[in-house]
Amino acid sequence: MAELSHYGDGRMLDSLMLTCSSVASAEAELRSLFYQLSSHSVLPTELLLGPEAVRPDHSELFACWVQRLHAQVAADGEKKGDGEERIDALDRWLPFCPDLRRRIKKLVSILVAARSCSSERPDNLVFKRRSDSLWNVLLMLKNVAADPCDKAGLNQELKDQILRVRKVLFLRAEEISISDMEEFPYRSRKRKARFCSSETSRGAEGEMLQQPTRRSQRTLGLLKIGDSHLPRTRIPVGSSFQADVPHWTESPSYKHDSDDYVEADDSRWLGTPVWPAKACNVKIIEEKIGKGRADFCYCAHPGSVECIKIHVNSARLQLKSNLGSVFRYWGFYEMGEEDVSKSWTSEEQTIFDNLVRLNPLSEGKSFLEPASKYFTSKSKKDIVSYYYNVYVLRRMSNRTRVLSGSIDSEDDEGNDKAYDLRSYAFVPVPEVSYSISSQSRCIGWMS
Amino acid sequence: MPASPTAASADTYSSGGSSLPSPSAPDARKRRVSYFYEPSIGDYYYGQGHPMKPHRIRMAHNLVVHYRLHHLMEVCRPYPASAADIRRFHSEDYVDFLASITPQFLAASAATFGASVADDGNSVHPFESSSSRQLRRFNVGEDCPVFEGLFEFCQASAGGSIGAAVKLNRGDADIAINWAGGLHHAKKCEASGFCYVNDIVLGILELLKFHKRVLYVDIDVHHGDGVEEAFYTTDRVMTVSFHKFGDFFPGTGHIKDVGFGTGKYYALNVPLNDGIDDESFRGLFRPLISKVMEIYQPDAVVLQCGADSLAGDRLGCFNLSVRGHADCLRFLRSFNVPLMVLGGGGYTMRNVARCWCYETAVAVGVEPDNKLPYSEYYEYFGPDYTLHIEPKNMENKNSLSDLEKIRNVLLEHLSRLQHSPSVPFQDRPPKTESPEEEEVDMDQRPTCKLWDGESYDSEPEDLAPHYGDIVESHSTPSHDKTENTAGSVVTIFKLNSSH
Repeated sequence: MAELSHYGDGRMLDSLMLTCSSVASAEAELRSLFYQLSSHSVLPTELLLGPEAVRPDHSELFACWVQRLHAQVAADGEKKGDGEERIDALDRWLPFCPDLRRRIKKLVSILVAARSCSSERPDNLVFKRRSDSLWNVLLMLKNVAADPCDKAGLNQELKDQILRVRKVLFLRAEEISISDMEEFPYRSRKRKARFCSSETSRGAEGEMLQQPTRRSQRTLGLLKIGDSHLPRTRIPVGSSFQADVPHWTESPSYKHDSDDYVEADDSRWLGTPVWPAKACNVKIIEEKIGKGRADFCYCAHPGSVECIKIHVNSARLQLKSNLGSVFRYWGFYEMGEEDVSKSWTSEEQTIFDNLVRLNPLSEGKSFLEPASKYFTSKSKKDIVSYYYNVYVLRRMSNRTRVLSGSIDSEDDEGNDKAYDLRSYAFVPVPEVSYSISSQSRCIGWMS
Repeated sequence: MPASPTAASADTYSSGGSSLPSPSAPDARKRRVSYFYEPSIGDYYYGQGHPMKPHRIRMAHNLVVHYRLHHLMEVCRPYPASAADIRRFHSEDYVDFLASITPQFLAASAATFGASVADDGNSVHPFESSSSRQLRRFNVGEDCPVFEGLFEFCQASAGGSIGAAVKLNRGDADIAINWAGGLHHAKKCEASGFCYVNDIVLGILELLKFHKRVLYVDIDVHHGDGVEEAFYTTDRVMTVSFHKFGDFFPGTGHIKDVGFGTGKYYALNVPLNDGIDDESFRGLFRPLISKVMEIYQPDAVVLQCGADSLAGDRLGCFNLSVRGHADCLRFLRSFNVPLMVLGGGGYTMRNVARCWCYETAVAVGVEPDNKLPYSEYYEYFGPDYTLHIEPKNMENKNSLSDLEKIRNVLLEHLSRLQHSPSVPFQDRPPKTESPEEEEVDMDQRPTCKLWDGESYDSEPEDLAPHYGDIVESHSTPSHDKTENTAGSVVTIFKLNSSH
């Protein structure tokens, strides 16, 4: 109570008493007194606010305080005649020196008088009108939110008020009108700052503008299209993110003969020309380009594993004669079951199959490490090649024939459960042909 | 039933688009195509269970050759990009790390420091080995494992894309293909999403030596974040990515991310939802790309053909057919601008091979038979053994109104680009400063990270509805019909039936 003591110590407040003329300064003084008093817990809030459990913000407390004091002053006025020295009910509210009490009473009465005589100037009564109406609007909104179907309480005036409040609080006109509002914080901050500086006359309002826009996430979501309400990860900007893009200076063109440096520097990127092959003199009939397989074949069991093996081999032979040395260069000798499985004995193949089965993907295991440890003579490349060119191919082949038409696996490697590969253990190709749905010229299972 | 659709049916399908004659392709059909293939690419192996399988590139090449498509193009083995070449985009320490790391080194280092490494994996242990610190720093580990020959794989992939760019730069080819490329997630200083070296960025940088403006189009199901990020602040590269957005890797690619600084509005993001089909995709792709081509007038185009946007992909969630996917290439090809075609994602190997083989055919102007030729990998394509795939019976979660809104928002973004005076589309170099830039206080530009956690949400929500009209009037095709192999005529898409 250090600050208050000098009031109590008999500082002449009365000399000030009548000097305050304007309502505004009265309010300001009252406010500062209120803050001083309340900051020292002199004012019991339950006395100010009555039984209300809610705890509004500071300015609201002030408004309540003034209201209460006013009620008290009015009550005192009715009981006028007992003299100033009588210990009035106000003492209960202001448990400190009489001078201060008197001063407060005076200020309150000035404020109240101003209010009663100038109801057509609502801006003088901000402290009351605004908080009250805002409070009402909030309550109303709360009710509507709790029960949107109950429109009983919403009259047009309130609705308009709500809309105005929303505009002021959430979608400031300035924000909306900057249609080209930049997405970048420093930019928007700058705009806001510029805007604020022009609004400094509005004092506290200007400060409010600098606070981050309050807008509920839900409201934002409603304003968005489709999925754009989903979390947005931004592209970072800076020297450690962007490529160094040189400015366009001229329009150079390749001078194939004159600019040797450019030629020498870039020609390596042309790589090794492989096709058209110089030594290749096989004349391709243009009709062959883009051609698929024949509609049907004369095999005994079209679509069978054997049938397809025959056709694949014949296709390879044709291709070999067409490509010449390029056949080897492009690695066709390392493609497909036929050639890759040749370098693996049937025993090795069985062991590999078992290794894959024993190290299922579903258990987070890999066949590669155990296989490369076991097959010391084979490189990892050989093992992977066998896996894709023989193992997976056979599995797909088997699966297609066992589960004809119902393959919908998203993984080419599949999972092991449904397709037992033991049939491959010693007989790489089952001597059984199955029908293929799309080529079903020959129906039924045959042996 | 004719075994193969006639050339006429291929013509009808490709009629939509701007078939501009070019000196090298006067009939607006034939293109000189260069194709890069590294024969050892299929041997690289990310590890069992890892969805990324370079073997798919070998399968695609195998189909291409069995369809005899190589007769219509030049095929080269790429020159491997050196560490110095890769540093043209990537940071030095990252490249050094990639060039040095091997599974053996990793195992040795784990054995040495294994005992002292904290178990919880997340906290950086004081005794953690420098290699595992680097793994963390460069995001190498789970998604992007260290595998045998990792750097050679990156060298081949990047070498192919740079080679493709050089081919286009020299005017030796109209279309250059590298199915081993398209690794669009790799960042300047770190690996991401199965990608270590961003061959696309390196290829585009090479293109920028001789081409003023390069357009990058990405139809992978994932956002092309690495490329967008690399060129986020420049107007010399425009990036357009069509991708699944929402609870999906990598999380970037919001419709409102449009680029920054000079690059503002030079990044376009098309966020899509699960199950998008050919018709919906085409309804966005064609009008948007037409508008982009019209406004941006690129000197070269790079198309990333990630095949994980196909129906039935192991990781994807779109429902495109091979034909619908390839329609993007067909459309871009029709503009007769130097075109680089790259691979990318794609995790159901047989469909990736189908798709890239068919797209190679589209590039050389051939409509291949649907019945696959017999080949070494024939058994991979059962039970139908066809080139084309049927879309899945799944819900298209992209409503017409959503697509319309997306299209309008993006056309609105494009209109800003159109009206921006900073972009000269005549034959003169772009100004270094634009009027827009004058407003920006460059000192306040964050140097490290743009977004410091502060949310920003005051963009205009109102969209100009009249841009839909522009699309209508701009659209060229009336009907696009194609004869599928079953012999029935399917109307793929109708933009304006009044034609």
